[in-house]
Order: sequence, then structure tokens, then C-alpha cells
Amino acid sequence: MKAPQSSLRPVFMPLLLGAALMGVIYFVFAVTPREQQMGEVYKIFYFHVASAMSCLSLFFICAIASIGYLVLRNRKGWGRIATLSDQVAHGLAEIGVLYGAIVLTTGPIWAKPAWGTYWNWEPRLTLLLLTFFLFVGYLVLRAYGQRDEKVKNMASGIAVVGIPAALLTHFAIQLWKGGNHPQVVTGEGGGLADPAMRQGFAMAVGTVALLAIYLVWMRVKTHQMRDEVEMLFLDMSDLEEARR
Amino acid sequence: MRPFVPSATVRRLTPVAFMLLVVASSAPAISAEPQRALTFEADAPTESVDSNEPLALLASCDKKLESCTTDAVGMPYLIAAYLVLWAILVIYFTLARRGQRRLREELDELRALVREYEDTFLKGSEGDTTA
Repeated sequence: MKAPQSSLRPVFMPLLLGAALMGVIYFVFAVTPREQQMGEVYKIFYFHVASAMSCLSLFFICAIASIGYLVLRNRKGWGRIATLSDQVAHGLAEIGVLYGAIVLTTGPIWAKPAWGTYWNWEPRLTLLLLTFFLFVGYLVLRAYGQRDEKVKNMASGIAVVGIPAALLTHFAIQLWKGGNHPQVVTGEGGGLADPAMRQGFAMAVGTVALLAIYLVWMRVKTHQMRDEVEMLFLDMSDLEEARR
Repeated sequence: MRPFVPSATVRRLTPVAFMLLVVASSAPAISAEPQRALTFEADAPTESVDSNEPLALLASCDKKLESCTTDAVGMPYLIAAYLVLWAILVIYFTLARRGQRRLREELDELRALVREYEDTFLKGSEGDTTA
């Protein structure tokens, strides 16, 4: 027997996460201090960097889940886990692209007052853009191929490239010294000077990551439902065939 | 001449070796001293200025004016960034939820239809066997 579903369940998590986001925004604007050089505009940093961290993590985990799918898909008894890892990889790529879109729009908006230009072909920016396009390609392929096994394998192969792509994007600052990106989070000797800045940043990272987890879970559910719909269509056509 | 075909092991190991190479190539850079350690410093709190000291008052006003100008330039960008953030999240969430709801309805309908089909089919086949 199915457990009765609470009518509050579908709206509870979005409301909670929305409230948490509002709380972080309140903290960022009301508690964290103004930055000496950039003034108030540096407050874009809290969500921009938190989204970038989540975005790269999502791409990285997507690549690992895709490896899981590629390794397990033909093993006996592992079919369900392989399917699940494929669905998870698909969900991770979608939310990674969503976060990538946030990073690639809030970044240039912040860059204009901070660097004087919306865009330059700085290593980290360029690599993130390429990684973003890589996963957009993955999603286009998935949308085109639907349940086709060959397309799934090909898309998973593309996603595996996400590992070096995400790592290179993260370490681009250290690898190529000519960029403009500051190193306030990972840089030694630098950082967020004020404790309120550090608290605000930790809250933003936590909330954005929780939101990502929720959205991925939602997308995985959707993919599972889509798969079930297609299976039911197949069942229907089998029954139709048998009736004839 | 037969074309060169790498063995299965070589084909499997090539992407792994490529990834290891990429990761290993970044290792020296990771351990290297960072070049641009930048600190986000909090703005110093405004000090109370003695109103009998006109020069100090002027300097304080200058500082305030400078920070106000910086903020006036940056504020539209700050607002735009947060609007974009919320717009992307809200639009995506609404569309995803709508799609999920539609899919759930479709799934329920299909389940009912398959059940109906199965019942009719089973009844039909039972009828066939009794006949």
C-alpha cells in the first residue's frame, strides 16, 4: 500500500529553500560590510562564486555518474543502478547548465564595474564558457536521442570530458597567470577579511548547494517518470499487437 | 596493407591516460605559490569628525562622496545581477514544475489505460478459452 502523501510536500521544500535564499540575501545586504575598493557591487560575489562552485561540482559529479553508467550498463544485475546513474547524470548536467547560465550572466555584470569590461578572453572565463557549451551539447544530444542507447553512450562519453574541463576551469587561475580573476576564496594570504563576509559566503555556498541538490532530485524524478511513460507506451503497443 | 587497429585494452586505457595526463599537468601549478592573492577588505567604519575642524570635515565629506559615487555606479549592476539570478531560478523552477506536473498526469492516465487494456485483454482471452 502506498503511503499517504501530504498535501504540503510538493511546496514545502521550494518554500524552505526560497526562504533560505531570502535569508542569505538579507544577511548579505544588511550584515556584510561594504568592500573598500569596489563598494557595494562586490556583493554579487556571494551568489556568483557559490553558483560557480556548485556548477563545477555538478559537472564533475555528472562525469563520474556517466563513467558509472558506461561501466555498469552491460554488467548483469547492475542494470537498474546503471539506469539510475544515467538519470542522475542527466539531472546533474541540466542543473549544472542552469548554474552555468547564472555564473555566465552575473559574472559579466560584475566585471563591468570591477574590470571596466563585460567580457575578456581570460582563461577561467573562456574555459567555463567551453565547459558550459560542452554540457549544452550533452543536453542537446540527450534531447535528440531520447532513449536511444547509442546516443546515451555517446552523451556519456561527452560528459566524461567534464572531469578535465571542470578541473582545468578550477585551476585556470594557477595555470595561467595572466587572468583577472581574484583569488579571494582559495588564495593564500588573501581572502575575505571580515568575519561577516566569511559567514555570508558560507551561507550562500550552503544554500546554493542545497538548492542544486533539490533541483537535481526533482529532475531525476522527472526523468524516471518520462522513462516510465515510454515503457507504458511500449506496453500499450504490445497489448494492442497481442489483441490483433 | 592492413589498417592499424589498437587492441581493446589500449582503446580502454587511452581516455584514462589522457585524463591522468591532464590532471597531472596541473599538479605543479596547484602546489605553486599563488600570484594574485587578493583580499576583500571591509570598508573602515566612518569616524565622528569634530565639527570645529573644517579640514577634517571636508576630508570626511570627500571620502563619503567617493564611496557614494562608487556605489552609484555599481548599484544598477548589483540590482541587475540579483534580478537575473532570481529570474533564471524562478523561470526554470516554474517550467520544470509545470513539466513534471504534466508528466505525472500523463503517467496516471497511461497507467489507468494500461490497466483497462489488460483487464479487457485478459477477459477477452478468458472468454476465448471458455468458448
